[in-house]
Amino acid sequence: MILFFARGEVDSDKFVKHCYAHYRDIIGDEELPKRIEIIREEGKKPRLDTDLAHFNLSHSHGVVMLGISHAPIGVDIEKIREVDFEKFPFINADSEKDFFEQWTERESYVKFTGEGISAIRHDIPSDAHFEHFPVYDGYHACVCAEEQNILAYEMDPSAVE
Amino acid sequence: MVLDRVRELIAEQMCLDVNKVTADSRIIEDIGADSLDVVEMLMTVEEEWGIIVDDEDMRKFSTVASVVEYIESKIK
Repeated sequence: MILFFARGEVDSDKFVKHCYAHYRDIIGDEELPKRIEIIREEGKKPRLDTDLAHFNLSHSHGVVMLGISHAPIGVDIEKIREVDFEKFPFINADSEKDFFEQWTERESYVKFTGEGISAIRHDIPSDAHFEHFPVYDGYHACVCAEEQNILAYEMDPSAVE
Repeated sequence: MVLDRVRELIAEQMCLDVNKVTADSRIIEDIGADSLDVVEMLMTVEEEWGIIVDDEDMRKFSTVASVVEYIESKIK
């Protein structure tokens, strides 16, 4: 799996295509198609037009996180800010750090399954696998995927055409 | 009026001038909300109007107007 992070304004589709080219180079798998398109269908998780790679994207207040993997993946990045925990009865947090860890796990899980925000209040299975990344000061990121090696890169938004 | 109160609540939560929040404002693209902001807004709506936002309806809120319509349909 490769995670790509960027700070700034970037067109999502262009970012995915730009990073996918890097993913293909780094993974070195000739079977991966040279070009991909993103398929968006109402009520379904956006996906690539190949079964050989999966992606998921998350934006939060000026940063973007993209995960690309051979297997299904869900990612979430959040700007850490003051939150009224009481508003979220389905999250039992005793600190801001704990809240954002739990929140990003939930969000990355519902994006992994493709159920999306509708499932945000449901319980998360105890065997779901998460990796947390305190990337960028003031942000918390999490990825939900089968256990695998992870590489992470920071991308320059101005390099994305 | 539901619209005015929704605009106030969103402006307060997102630290925006309420005049920047209109019925047509798209919650993610115009107001700059991320997923956590959206859910926080929906939790606030539940509390303010004493309604429950059904899970399947949570993904339907693209604009401020769509939130208002939903509240109005639930409080009738």
